[in-house]
Amino acid sequence: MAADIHTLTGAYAVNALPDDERRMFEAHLDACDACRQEVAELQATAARLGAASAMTPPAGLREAVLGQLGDVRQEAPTRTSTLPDRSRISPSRRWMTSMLAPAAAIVAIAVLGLAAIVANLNERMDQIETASTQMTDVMAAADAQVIDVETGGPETVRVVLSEARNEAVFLVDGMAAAPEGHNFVLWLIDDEGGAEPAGTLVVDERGRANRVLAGELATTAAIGVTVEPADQPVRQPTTDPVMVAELTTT
Amino acid sequence: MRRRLTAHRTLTEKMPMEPDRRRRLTALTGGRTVTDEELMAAVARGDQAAFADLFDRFGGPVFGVVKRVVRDPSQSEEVAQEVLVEVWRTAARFDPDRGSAQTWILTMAHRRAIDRVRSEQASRDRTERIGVRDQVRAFDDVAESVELRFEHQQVREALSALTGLQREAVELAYYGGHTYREVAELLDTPLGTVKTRMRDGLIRLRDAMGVAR
Repeated sequence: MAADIHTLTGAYAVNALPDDERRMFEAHLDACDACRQEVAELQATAARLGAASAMTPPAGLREAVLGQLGDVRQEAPTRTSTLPDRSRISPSRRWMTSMLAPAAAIVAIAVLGLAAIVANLNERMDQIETASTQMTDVMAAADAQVIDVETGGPETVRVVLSEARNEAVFLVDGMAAAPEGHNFVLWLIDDEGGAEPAGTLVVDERGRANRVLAGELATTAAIGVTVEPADQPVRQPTTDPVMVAELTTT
Repeated sequence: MRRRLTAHRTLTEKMPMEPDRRRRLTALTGGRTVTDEELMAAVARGDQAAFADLFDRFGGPVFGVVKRVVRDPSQSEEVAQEVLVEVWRTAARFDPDRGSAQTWILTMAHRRAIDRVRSEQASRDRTERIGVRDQVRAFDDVAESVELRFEHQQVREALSALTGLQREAVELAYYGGHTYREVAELLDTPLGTVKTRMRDGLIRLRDAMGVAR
């Protein structure tokens, strides 16, 4: 399998891989520039086969689709990461493997003292040139707490939390992108285990992602990340979390 | 190449884009035709009129792709509707640096169609082997409502330049919606060969049609 995995570009481009092999190949794509380029070209080729078989749609389809738009909330554009360039760990396949495994890495984190945080925050603020206003607001909040999360893996996770603003910023580095057709979804988990979706986490090509979390942070016991199919509305987690950061107050 | 007329009634009665719409589109860009990618950007900003234009370009191709794989007309309509609403919902995810709007939309349509037939397949016992001839509808079989145009002609020529095995492998997978394992079985050919033929067949098509990405 490993030896000839590159030859799967064709089968992948025409969606001829069974689900398990598709996921495996997507993990490979993440690490193989040549395959990614070839897949892009072969998908474009396959799309030409599709375009050439255009058919007149049924009479009611146009109206049915256009009539539905008002009821469908559009996804917000994804932000590009603006994390400062720390010594970076490149996305590893180990993470990809562990992400596909159902077992979750449970990580407990403690809230740090405020003084160290302000110093740290100032330094970080200097490094961040183009952070979005919202994110800056959270980081600059007088009560901002910076929480570094021990993941035990190659990824670095940091949460900046402002209880006064009821907002937090979730930052990751060294993380592999979600498998194609899937998103990382963030969840605010309360004491009783109830989970509220808090948006998607889009990992850029350098393995970084950030997301502003807004919600009832006072009652949030943990922040979780799951892998969810991109083509379905997200209401409840459908997979075990790949990461859970517990917020414990000390 | 990019401009698309999708509201044809029959092979011969092509309906040109209404003059109104064309005027409006050109007004937006100062005389230049709006590209698919520009439409996508407007759609991502919530522009419903832009989505209507996008539908007029891609409604036919999306329905065609889905119908090819799903076959059943009412299910095809359902899947096509899901795909188009999905395009609206996730338009912000489209990145023109990574490929054309056509590729993005039709890849989504094809995958959705495949998902539909595979989930059906899973719930139904489809162990009986049906002859390849019944399974594949060769590229030209669906002529009733296929739009006749340059693109169609070009694809037909490119397909006819493939070897028999390349062509069958690509068509069974793309138009037939089969996994490469099923294709191998249908063609009574080793798995490795099928994978390779699928890939080199597509590469040959890519080169013949001058596909960038």
